[in-house]
Amino acid sequence: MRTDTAAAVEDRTAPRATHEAVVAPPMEYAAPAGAPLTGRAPAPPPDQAAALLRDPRLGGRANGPVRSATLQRLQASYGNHALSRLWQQAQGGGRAAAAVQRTPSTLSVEGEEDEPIVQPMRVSVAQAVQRKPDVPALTTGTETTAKALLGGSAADKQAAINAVVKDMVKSSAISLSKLDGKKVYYDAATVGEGLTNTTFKATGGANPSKVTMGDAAFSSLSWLYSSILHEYQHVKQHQALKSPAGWSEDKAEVEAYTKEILKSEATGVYKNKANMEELWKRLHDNYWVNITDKKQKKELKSVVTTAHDIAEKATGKKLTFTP
Amino acid sequence: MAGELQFEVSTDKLTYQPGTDILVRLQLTNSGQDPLIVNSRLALNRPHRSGEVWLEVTGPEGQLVPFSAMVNVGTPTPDDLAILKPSRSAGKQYVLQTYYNTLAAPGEYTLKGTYRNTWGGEDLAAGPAWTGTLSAEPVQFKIAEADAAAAP
Repeated sequence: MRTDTAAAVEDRTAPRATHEAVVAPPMEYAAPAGAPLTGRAPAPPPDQAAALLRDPRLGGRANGPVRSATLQRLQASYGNHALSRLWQQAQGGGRAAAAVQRTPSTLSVEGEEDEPIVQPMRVSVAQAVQRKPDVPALTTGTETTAKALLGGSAADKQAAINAVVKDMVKSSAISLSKLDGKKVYYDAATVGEGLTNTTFKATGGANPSKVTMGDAAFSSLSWLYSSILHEYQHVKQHQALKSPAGWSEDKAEVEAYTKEILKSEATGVYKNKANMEELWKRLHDNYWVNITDKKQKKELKSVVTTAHDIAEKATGKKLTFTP
Repeated sequence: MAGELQFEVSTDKLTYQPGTDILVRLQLTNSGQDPLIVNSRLALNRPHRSGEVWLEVTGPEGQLVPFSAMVNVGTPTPDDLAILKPSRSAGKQYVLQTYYNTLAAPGEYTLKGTYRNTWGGEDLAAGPAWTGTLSAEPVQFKIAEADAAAAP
């Protein structure tokens, strides 16, 4: 709760840092303290070095010091990145996959630049496949990028929208051709999740629709995706109109919220019980109950009933539905 | 107490040149002696839909200007509540054409605003939020004829 706000000035949370899971290749050894790094024999060429690292004898418990010295020698000759690559080659896919379970380990060598001998690796493919995405409809890369931007500045929020929209266009969930400026805008002045506005030509037909997203859409990536989907439903509705006459705002909103619920597994909103309940309440309490045209209700009843079933299943609650 | 909360609608100018933004300010003021908890979200929407404020814009010929925006706004949250000390205000400003995109014809307009909050804030430790409906005094503004001198 805020106190005494003379004007609506929203607090902006500082951009959150991106925290990606990082792993290092297995390092089952420790460098001998103060081990001399000079006066060593020259390192073998890279192909031989990889073969050397593959040598099973090097993994023997008693060969720890030899293994350590070998690695240090290769590191000094080829550098950290090259050694990292050689190590990956030597260990093969099975070991690399197993490596993601390990605690990252680093080994600094005195006199070297202040970076670990083996660079931390980004999350492996094996791990990415196993991980459950927040928004199944988005690619892992987009999810990672956009998620980190949700709590940031206006520019960050616009970037998050752009990233999500790009994926949505790729998957044909939306098309930019009917959008004003061919984009979805972030606007801090938009109260609620989003707003769609369309002007109509004097000769009939809609001009491109302007869609703006407000701060309420940024509570999670799932919610942002779902909210864009909602607004895009209005874009399609407006673009299909010949003129604003005969427009039913209640029907249009019921369709948009129904879309959000029907797509909730793909957007990830399904996993959030409170959001699913909120979607149903908006659909039903704010709009469905206001539709008095029996023909309109009949047209919508089947999909609204399906949406109700999904919302009840997701929330595990009995949700009011007045058919 | 209901009578201690005032709702006011105002515009930033009396006369607007065609095509310029018409800024509307919505303001809640505690004119009582005690602090009030109010829903200061002041979300603008159609009458009796989600949101706290609706406006009635009457054009030069007496016609109602239609609300054109599709607003996706849900139930308010505790973050939308504010404590208003006596004689203090909470407000929000909107560009009128964002919500009434056919608002362009020159002439005199009347703007009436209604504030309604039905959410008491549930289990707020500070006490219930103000609930009820308030009507603002109507205000007038004008959209001027296009400046002939500025025309090509």
